[in-house]
Amino acid sequence: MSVPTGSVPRSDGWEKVTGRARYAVDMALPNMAHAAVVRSERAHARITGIDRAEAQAAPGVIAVVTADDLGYLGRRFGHIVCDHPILAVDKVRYYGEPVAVVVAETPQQAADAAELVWVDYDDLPALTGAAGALASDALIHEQSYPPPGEAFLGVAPAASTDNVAHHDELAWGDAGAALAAAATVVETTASFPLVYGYAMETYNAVADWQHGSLHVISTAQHPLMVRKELARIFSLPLAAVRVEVPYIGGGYGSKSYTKLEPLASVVSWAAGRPIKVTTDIEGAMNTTRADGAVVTVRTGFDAGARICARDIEIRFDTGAYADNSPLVLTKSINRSFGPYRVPNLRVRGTAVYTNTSPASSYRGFGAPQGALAGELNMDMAAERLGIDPVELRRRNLLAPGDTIIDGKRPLDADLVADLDAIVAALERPAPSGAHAPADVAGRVRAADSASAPATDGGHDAGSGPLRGWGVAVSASDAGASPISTAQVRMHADGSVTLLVSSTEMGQGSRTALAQIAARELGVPMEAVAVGQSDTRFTPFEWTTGASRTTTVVGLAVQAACTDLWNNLRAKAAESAGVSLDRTEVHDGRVYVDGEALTPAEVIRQWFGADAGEVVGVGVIRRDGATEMLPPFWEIGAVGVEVSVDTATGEVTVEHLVTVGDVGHAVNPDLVKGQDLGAATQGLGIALWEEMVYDGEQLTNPNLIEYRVPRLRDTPRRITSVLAERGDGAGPYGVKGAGEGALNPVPAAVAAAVGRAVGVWPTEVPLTPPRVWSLLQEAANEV
Amino acid sequence: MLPELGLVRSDDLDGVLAAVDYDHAPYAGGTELVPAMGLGLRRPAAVVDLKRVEALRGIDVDAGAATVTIGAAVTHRRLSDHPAVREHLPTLAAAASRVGNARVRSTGTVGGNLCFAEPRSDLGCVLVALGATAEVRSARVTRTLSIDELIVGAFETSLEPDEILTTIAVPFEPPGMSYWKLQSYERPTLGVALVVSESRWEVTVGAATERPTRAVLAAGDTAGLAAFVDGLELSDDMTGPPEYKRSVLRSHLGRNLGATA
Ligand SMILES: Cc1cc2nc3c(=O)[nH]c(=O)nc-3n(C[C@H](O)[C@H](O)[C@H](O)COP(=O)(O)OP(=O)(O)OC[C@H]3O[C@@H](n4cnc5c(N)ncnc54)[C@H](O)[C@@H]3O)c2cc1C
Repeated sequence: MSVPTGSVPRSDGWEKVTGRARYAVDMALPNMAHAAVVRSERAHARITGIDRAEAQAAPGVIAVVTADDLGYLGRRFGHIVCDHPILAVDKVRYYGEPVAVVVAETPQQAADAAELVWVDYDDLPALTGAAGALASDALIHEQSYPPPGEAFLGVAPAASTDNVAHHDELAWGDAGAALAAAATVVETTASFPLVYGYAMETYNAVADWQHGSLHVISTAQHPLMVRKELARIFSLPLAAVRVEVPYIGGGYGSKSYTKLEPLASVVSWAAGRPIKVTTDIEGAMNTTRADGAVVTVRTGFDAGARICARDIEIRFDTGAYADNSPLVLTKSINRSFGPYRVPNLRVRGTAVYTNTSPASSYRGFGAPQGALAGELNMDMAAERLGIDPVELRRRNLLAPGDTIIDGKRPLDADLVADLDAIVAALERPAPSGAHAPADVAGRVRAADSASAPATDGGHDAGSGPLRGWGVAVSASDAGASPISTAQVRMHADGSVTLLVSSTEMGQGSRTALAQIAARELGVPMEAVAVGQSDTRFTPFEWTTGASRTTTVVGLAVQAACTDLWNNLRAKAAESAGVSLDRTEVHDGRVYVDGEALTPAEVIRQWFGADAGEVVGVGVIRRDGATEMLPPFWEIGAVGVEVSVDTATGEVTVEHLVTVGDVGHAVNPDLVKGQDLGAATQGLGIALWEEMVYDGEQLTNPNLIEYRVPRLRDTPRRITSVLAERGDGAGPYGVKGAGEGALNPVPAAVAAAVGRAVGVWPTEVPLTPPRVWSLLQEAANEV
Repeated sequence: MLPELGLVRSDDLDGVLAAVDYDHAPYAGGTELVPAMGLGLRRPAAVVDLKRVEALRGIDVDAGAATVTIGAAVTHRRLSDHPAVREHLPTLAAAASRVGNARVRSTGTVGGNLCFAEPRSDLGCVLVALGATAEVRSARVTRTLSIDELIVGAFETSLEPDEILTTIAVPFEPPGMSYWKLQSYERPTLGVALVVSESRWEVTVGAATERPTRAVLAAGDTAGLAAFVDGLELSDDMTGPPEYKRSVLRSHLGRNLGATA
């Protein structure tokens, strides 16, 4: 029996490569009608009237639905702050917000009629920037919202009286006093752009309300979270709401929690037909984005270049609705100071409502925002202190088993070893102990200038590209709530069906989970079928987020397999009429008094026919290996080397090094794919991606002007290292992967460009004109 | 989402010319027209397919006249792969091979590029530099225009609604020609075509200008070059402010003309 370990091919590969895999956008129900969303053409305005007569009379139109038509249904959703109207109620808070929905027989008829819905607005001040929104007297939310229940993961809903969606703090020691006493204090402010989590599939949903039940097929990452909100909106028991999620064409956090589902569902209720709602890229950008941020970090060092304090201020641009941003903010705070020994800490974070597309979860979950300023700050500090930046990090990094945050799981990773792996791959000379010579970091131009990094290459105008390198690390307290259930059903031929509500969105989780089941049960991969998540049939799963699946769901699958073996043993004993202690299990067989039986034989014997099945259930909760939170720290450790064209400011990534510190790679190719994908997304933020608001509107709501990385942008050289030290709480020592490699990339690129150009950047993306501006600044400083 | 719309197909030019008018837009690759319709910027009742008309698909070399005549419905891919184009118009072939992305190159056409008159184009710049002429036809008349007369502004041509561009006649490439572009985004940010001889500098700047803009200078006239560069009105958009584009242009000219513009 070949046990399917290692990089087995993806089980969804054939379907996806041949174009036969099905996604929510492909789904249809009998008698289905189509919806087109009428979106706000104001950033902030009161709705004074909606004239739908013309649209209602248009060919094929079944209904025109507004917030006024929703009867007893809930008007709002939001799992932390219930502030998000399904359809705008009285006012609009961002350009592109859904105001009405036209339902028609065909998508074209719906789209044509949507242009005939006339909305009258009374303009309010459009607060499209966080600083302006904080300073303004105008309120984006004039009311507070009834809490949806208890606090969600410790984040309590707050009333907005000042355009603040959430505020949080983390502190220990006395950062103020320690900074005052520090030998050196280095301050960094960096801006992180509004980023769109571009996925090949946008948000899509089909909804069918029938008396007493609701059926939704959608692109939800977290079907059980969506079920909960829909049940509340419709006052239905959980069991009456069925959320089905086929393959998702990419998520990156942007499809976590509730998005298009309430809209599709209430429209089905109002129109009395199954409804399909799809979005284009513009609609998707107007559904969710990542929080933009301005982060200021002040770090104090003692005479030995050891951190004595960090004081950090984070301001998020959260957009019109809170969605998951309060939790993202809290996590950003936890992740902002890095995996360093910080004896005195103060981090303050504010998430600000603005009149822009609402922000929520995005790959990295607050970590990239904080790491940009936090890690760049380490590079600026290294330069100021005259120490190699790798050495400075090494001197301050926490060791395995150290506490990062009191009460949380101690660090389950060896970051110094990860850093060494990066340096080795970058082929840089290792810094030799304390106070490495300055030429390791490049020539120091102005020894006492904190704002002018030592350039790595020469900077004679026109003498070819400049070169620079950067490394960065981060550790994230994975928000992977350990609540998971898995079911393995073994059939009469020994093959198994694995049921989980974890969603497959391209990350390869169905393959990895099947591998775990196959390994535990000693069956080949082909003998394991993994069903799609469907809340009516698949068991409870918290979410598919926080890089949790292989760790947490993997444990549930492992537990389900153990349960299955126990059941098989019991059945074998019962069939043979012997006591349990005369049976044992090893090497994929059940032994009864030393005689080997295959699981299939056990099943057939017990049922007395070539039929039947035996089921194993695995349940994970805060207990045992997953009692201590987080279940793991997700590590990000990367290095980059860049070249900068002095004439055009174009940055080329010459070498990217990722270290996947995953404990154990169930499928190394899938882990490397995650690392490369995440790092590439980070490169997009570092160099290109930014949603630009000019006045009330997004100026680049398409993929021609919102530039995501293309094949030609991939680094010239990529080194993907896997660190498998078996130090995770998951099966075989697994820890999460999927987000880690994104988190430090913008910081590493910013440091590398800063080193190449001679001026530290203060914002990303480092587009050619921005780098050109840095080059001008550098030239003027000489 | 695209509205429902009609489609007119004909294999011959007269059939096409009879159909084209304000409400019946010609289309070839649709790479510009379809997104424009999706955004509601263009709302023709029907589109008229040019792709099946043989007369619009030729690439013909006239050795005597030293020209290559290119049909308006020739795709970027065919243009860049064609042996005669590569031989006689290597700079144009290279520019076509680097247009946008593979999808745009295999469906987008030379005619569509010129007639949409999107400023951020390579072909317009290269064709102006080459001194190409366009043949334009309607059911009524046939006209011959320079590319400069065809493209009159950003997204603006001198075509009447019932006219189509049929062919472009391009003189063989002169020695000393080069084309360089800065393309950090999906479309070019700046394009510079140079024709340099012992006596003359011909500089054509595109993409950052409303339409390709050409200067003919005596070789070595650095003052004239500087005045030309300083006088250009350059776009201010996501790809960078005018100062940036001017600086990139200057350094390109500096490197290639050995002159600080
Ligand atoms: C993503 C992207 C990237 C691009 N990058 C580049 C680039 O790097 N460099 C570059 O030069 N260009 C670039 N382009 C432009 C590209 O070259 C054009 O989209 C393409 O050539 C248009 O040809 P088409 O046949 O698809 O035109 P269509 O979309 O079919 O037509 C465009 C317009 O021209 C009209 N039209 C078409 N043919 C004729 C004709 N014969 N007579 C009269 N009117 C006509 C149509 O009515 C329509 O208004 C890019 C385009 C895209 C979408």
